[in-house]
Amino acid sequence: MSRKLDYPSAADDALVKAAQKADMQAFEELVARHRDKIYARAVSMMRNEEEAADLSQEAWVKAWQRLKQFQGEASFVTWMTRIIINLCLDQLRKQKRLRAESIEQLDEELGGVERQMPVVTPNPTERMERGELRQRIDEALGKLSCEHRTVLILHEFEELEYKEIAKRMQCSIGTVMSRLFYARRKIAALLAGWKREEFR
Amino acid sequence: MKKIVPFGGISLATVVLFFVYSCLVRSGSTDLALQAQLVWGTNNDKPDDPKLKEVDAKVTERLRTALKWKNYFEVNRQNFIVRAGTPKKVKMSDHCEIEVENFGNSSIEVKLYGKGKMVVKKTQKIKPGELLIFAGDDKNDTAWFVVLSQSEK
Amino acid sequence: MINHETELKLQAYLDGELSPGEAKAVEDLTNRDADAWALFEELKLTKSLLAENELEVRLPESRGFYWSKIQRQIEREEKEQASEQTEAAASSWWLRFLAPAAALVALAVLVVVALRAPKGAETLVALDDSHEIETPLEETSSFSFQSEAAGMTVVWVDSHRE
Repeated sequence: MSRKLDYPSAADDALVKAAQKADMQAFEELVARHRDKIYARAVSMMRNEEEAADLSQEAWVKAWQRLKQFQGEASFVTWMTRIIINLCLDQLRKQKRLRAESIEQLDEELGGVERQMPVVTPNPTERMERGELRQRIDEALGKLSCEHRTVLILHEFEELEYKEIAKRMQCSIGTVMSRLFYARRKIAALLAGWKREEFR
Repeated sequence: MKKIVPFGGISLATVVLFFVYSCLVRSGSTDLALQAQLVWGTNNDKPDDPKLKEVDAKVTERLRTALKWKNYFEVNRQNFIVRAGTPKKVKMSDHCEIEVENFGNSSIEVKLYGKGKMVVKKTQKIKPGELLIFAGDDKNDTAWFVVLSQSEK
Repeated sequence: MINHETELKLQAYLDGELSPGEAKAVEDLTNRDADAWALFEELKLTKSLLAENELEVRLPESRGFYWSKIQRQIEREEKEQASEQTEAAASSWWLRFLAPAAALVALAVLVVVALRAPKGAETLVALDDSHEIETPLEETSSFSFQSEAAGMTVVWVDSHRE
């Protein structure tokens, strides 16, 4: 006789195995555990809470439908995060917020403002609470172009390698490197600017 | 023997009084005093119609725990009594109407009508302090709600 | 001034994307070139600030409500998929037996139409195990969820009209 799964205390792996056998209660527990993280990733990429809520819901539906394909190479939450990232990227492409590589390259070859910026020290931590710093960083991310923000999120928050980012964003590794560089410089400038304001 | 007659009269009166009282109590307990509010949920700080008032803070707090909208404004409020076996229709707006039937023991059936057509019917108990809410999406990521509760005595 | 290729090399060094040989060359550069070192420090600080400070965001919906929406969508899509499969199976059958089936199907359609007509739109849809709920209109459906903490039951009415 099989033992009944204690959902709240069960590990993700056990819940995934149960959900793969069509146990919806196990899947509900997984949703409850990771829904904030998945939603947060969608919010950071889309910069719109409504769209993020819809896409994260869609991600969970897709996850249920593809659950049998999940072999456990990565953790369940990593697998889920990949689903939401791909959905967000598709949506951004549909909305044409994610530009084609050729236009982007042209823009960057001409040299953006970031290219001309002097080196700055973006260390505002001394005078800021952690919550405020997070808020400032989020505001700075909101000021970046969609391409720059996406590449930063994928690299800094999701810790994807250049090659993997290039595959997901459908561009070359060179473009990823270039975008990442300009995105970092712009963020540095924004944070340093705020720091200057603080000292005024 | 003489004493038996008045005692019998008192007994009879007591029985009659008890019967009348129990009838009154029964009819009182099956009448259900309800409140229905038509509410508009939005993330905007102010309603499109400045005449709308904010929903009571306690109810707003409860709505916020389960629903995503930040602010809730009351469009209309109706207090009414539903007698057992006599369905009551209450108009909430030009297009929205509810019909409530009281099955006794706080059990009700609510029919929601939109533009004269029945949209949904729900049967369940509504205990004092509980809310039964009908809801749906509206334009520009807002939502409408019909919030039913037992009227506070 | 550092050229763009070198800037990207500095960054790739920071991100651990260089071969050991290239990494050594960049390391030497930062040791002898103050501009390169300053830029490398800026990139490093930015990277660490971002990595540790992502804004925490919470989904503004209760567990029960959020799950009921997901469950409902799963059920709806499964239903649609099942009907698509039925249609696909029916169409292949049609291809093989098109001529003799045509008359039969026409007859069946007539019978179905005749039987359905008087019933109107009074279609019952059971959507909730614990409570009785009905949505008689074809263009709408509903689902309900309960929040015990907030002491409320919400009946969400979905309109399928786009």
